[in-house]
Amino acid sequence: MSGDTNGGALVAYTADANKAIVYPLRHGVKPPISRLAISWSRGNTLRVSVMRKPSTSGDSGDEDGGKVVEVKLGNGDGEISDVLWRRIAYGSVSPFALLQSRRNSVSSLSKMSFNSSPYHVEWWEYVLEYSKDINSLLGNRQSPPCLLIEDPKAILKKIEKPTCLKAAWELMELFYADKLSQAWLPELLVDWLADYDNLLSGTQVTVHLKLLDFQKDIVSLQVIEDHPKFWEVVSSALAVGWLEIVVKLLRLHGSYQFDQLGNREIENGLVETVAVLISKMPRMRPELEAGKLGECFKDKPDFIKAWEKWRTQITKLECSPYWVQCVHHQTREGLRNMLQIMLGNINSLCTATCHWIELYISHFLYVRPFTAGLESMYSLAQKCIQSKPMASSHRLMGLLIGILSENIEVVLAECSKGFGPWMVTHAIELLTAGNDQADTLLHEERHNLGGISMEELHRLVYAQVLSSHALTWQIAPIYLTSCMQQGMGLLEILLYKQPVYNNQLLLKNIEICRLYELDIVSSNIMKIAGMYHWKHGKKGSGIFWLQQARDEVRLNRIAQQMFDSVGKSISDESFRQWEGLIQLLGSESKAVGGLEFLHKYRDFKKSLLQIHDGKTTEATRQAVESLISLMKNPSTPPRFWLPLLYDSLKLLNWQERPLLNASQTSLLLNKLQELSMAKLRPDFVEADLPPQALSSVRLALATNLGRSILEEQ
Amino acid sequence: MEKPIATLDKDTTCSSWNYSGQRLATGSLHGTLAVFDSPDPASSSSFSSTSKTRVHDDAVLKVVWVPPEYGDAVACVCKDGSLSLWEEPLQWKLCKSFKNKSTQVLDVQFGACSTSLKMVAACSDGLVKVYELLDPLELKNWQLQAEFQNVIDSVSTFAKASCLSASISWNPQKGESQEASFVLGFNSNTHQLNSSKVWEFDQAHNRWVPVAELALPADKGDQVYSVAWAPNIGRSYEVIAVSTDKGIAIWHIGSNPDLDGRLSVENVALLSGHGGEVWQMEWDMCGMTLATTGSDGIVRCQIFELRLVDASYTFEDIIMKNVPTDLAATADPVSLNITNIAAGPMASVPAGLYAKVHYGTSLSNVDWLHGGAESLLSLTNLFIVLGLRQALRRAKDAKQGTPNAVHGIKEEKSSI
Repeated sequence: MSGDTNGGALVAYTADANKAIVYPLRHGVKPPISRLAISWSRGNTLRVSVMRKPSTSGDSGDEDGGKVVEVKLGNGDGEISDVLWRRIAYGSVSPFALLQSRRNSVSSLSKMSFNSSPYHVEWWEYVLEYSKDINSLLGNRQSPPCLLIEDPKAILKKIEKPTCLKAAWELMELFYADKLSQAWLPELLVDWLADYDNLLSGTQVTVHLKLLDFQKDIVSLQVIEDHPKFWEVVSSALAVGWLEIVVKLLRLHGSYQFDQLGNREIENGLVETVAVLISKMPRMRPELEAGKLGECFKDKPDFIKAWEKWRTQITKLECSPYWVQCVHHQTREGLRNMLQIMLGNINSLCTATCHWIELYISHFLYVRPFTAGLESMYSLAQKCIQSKPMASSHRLMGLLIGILSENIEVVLAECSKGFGPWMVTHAIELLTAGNDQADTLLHEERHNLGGISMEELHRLVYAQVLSSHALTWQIAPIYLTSCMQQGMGLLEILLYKQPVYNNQLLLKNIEICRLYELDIVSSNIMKIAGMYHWKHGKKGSGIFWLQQARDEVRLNRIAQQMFDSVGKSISDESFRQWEGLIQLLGSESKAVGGLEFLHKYRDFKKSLLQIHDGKTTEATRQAVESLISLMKNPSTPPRFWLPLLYDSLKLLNWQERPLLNASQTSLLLNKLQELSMAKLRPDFVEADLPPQALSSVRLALATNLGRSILEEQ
Repeated sequence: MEKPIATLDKDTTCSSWNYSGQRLATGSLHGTLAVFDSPDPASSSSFSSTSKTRVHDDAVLKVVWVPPEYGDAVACVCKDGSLSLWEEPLQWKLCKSFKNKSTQVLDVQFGACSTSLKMVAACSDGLVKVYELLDPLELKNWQLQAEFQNVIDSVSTFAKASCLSASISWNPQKGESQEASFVLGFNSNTHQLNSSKVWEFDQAHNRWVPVAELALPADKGDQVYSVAWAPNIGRSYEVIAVSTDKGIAIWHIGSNPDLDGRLSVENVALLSGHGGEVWQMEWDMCGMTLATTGSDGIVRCQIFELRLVDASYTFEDIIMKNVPTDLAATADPVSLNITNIAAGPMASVPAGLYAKVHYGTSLSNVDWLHGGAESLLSLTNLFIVLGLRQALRRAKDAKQGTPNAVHGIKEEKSSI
């Protein structure tokens, strides 16, 4: 990019303008920018280095040379704070893990016997339990807007705004996990809307928003029933089934006041009748929370009977002659409109509701009270959308339409698009509960995904998101281990990328490796740690970690360095230093050949030091033993053979009597012979010894052999 | 979404993060190597310069970290083409310098093989040099293991090559059994050298052999700007990205060699490039997202998606255009334009990141999808999710003879 930053960007930009998502990267570096550099950090964090063009002479000298910015991709929507996200991430681990282990035990059980045992719990019950656990993490269930007893004029409870995430989860639970409640699905949707209607207010007018507005006016109103908004709000609340609010509002009607009761008896009677009718509305559901209005029916026949009776009562009231006697125009029209709503007049419902979902819900309440299951729910939703188009899409609505259309892929996509990887990963469990079609779709291994299933893909993506934060990466392995094909591969990379400088972190990483039997990774981590310590002068811990890693190559190299250092001079101070190090390693050194050799070599050198001229003692015997065991040991590198023998010349040339017997001497001679052969090989390393060393050793050995044979005879 | 984590020194020319993203090394115009560390290694929230070392009189063009198994060390490629290795126990010290008067080093990359550390250097005369570290404890002793030209048939040699740049990428696989392999491409005046080739070490014959060439027959002479080998966490094939003037090509490389020892290759996608030189390409840890940057000054993240019915691969494209804060504030017409099209970038970009996959399958499983909708699928870049779905519905409606499109879907489109 030469010169102007923006000029350059515009060209490529227009080419893909309608296809790519463009995101302005605000880095705060003053132009001109000369270069960018990118690097992936943990998980899905991208680091971008922005480098300024080098300043020419004459520029002010205190400018920065550029900045590095960290960009997190796919990281939530800002609805939920990072801290809360982490809490949810941590909290959802144990329900998820529990469900996975149950799945494993169930599948192993079903393999064992074809008949399910009498104690067998239906799988969806586990899923429902899981769903409830997850749901409880997302916040407490908000009680629907209902009346407060303390303040007669407060129609809406002041509640903390619920999150879309929770609303979405409940929606998924409603349709996929809660198999028992399928019979009263419409009623559950009514409750759901009551809880979350305010979430939709952000993009569009809703009944909730209307109520909220009216709440502000209510205090200043003297004659509430004269206000046109009053009747509008009441019928809206009735249309979406918020009966408590409706009744409470009706009871604010001026005709209830004692001073007016006498004059407006008929009017008051009508208001009260409507209020009673509303509070007696039959509902197809097992129970109602305290304070909620309506009459519950568990069985459909009873419900139908009650419903028809209720409807007849409304029709009767509708035709009653009292309406003519009601002088208050607004009250009359308002109440009759309410009756129309209860009778399922589509036009009235349409006017009373704002959002399509509200219209949709009102259909269930008053037009099709006997709807069960998902039948024709989708076409109804489409009709409602047609009559009340959305100004802009809302992610909750997208999800709901996906669910109603019974298209699993769309549901997944909406989950992912609207609520991110956490949601998809965890919601897949709900989708597959008792749904064979979804099960095959999500678990089928796909070649074009590199041999993994959709479920695994989403778990991998979620694990990647988890690993982008220092505080959450440790739970990523739990999700990765549930990925059969590629989870381990990603876990290996994830672990490899963890820093080793911090000892505590290092131990944790190694523990994770041990847990998942990732020996290669753990040895690699220990190798890195060993090298780090070795290079930073902590030779002891360096050797320790390299030993743990069983890194023969490096340990042999270290042993060689030690040997070089030790071999230079027996009495040197450095020997003591090395000796201490070898001592420190102690019994551990058996793990690796190079150090085992060094250990023995130290013993040998030590006993050699103790030998005093000409006297056969315990020390000489030990020295000979050490020499023989060193020469016999396959872990002694061949290039040390000659220096060892050269060092022990005084043992070979022992004056008093031959210290080595014939067989020992011939072993050494054989080694010498092997050494001469090895010299011809290209990889032979010449020891740093005087040129006559080989011949003097050979001579000494030959002499010793002769003497020992003579002695043994 | 973005937060600054370090401020670079004046006249910084290049930067590089180490394996764990805990240390940053930068080179400057005046030959200084600066290393940045975070005071708290666990959080890595902000980084500040902890050491500055003069490594050369000339500008440092490239800094490359040595694999951590060999200590904390970097290789610096300087403007005069010299290559030097610097190591840090306590302070940065020179451990090896490679100099050659006749040729310049263009790129260098390290591959940690099971037995030893290998270093590949691509030179301006078109030669590729592979060095091997003799002593795993010291970075001083290197042996030239091989020297060859980047040509697929080893008989022909080309003299007088003059290369502007080169790009090397090792197979990131760390398995013990894996043969060492890397991919390399040149930007030179000699066509035969340019196309990227995959080189593999033949243990039995102790030599490097080219096992694949990543270029379509017509594009073999194209200058290669950058190559990137994707991490493989379980695929049966390897994925390599190669950028040329024509864009960024994604290649699949099979694992079983044919009789000639060549691996099967398949060009599966051509992604948008940067309308010129591509400076850098990096795969994420899953090997599913490719981040690139180049001379147009933008950062692209292209996310792998499912194969669709027409057997093409698609990538979601996210562009990060660099906008200085003060520039955005002055309502520059260019940045305004961008914000308009990417309505609500703050919210939609991160959330939309992984959305695509499902619609992909959704399509692949729908068998009535032919004709009109297919033209949409051939787009190699992002297609907007709901826009696509709308097209899908239309296709469906057209088939079923019901012309009315659903209202809500139309609305949804406008929000993207």
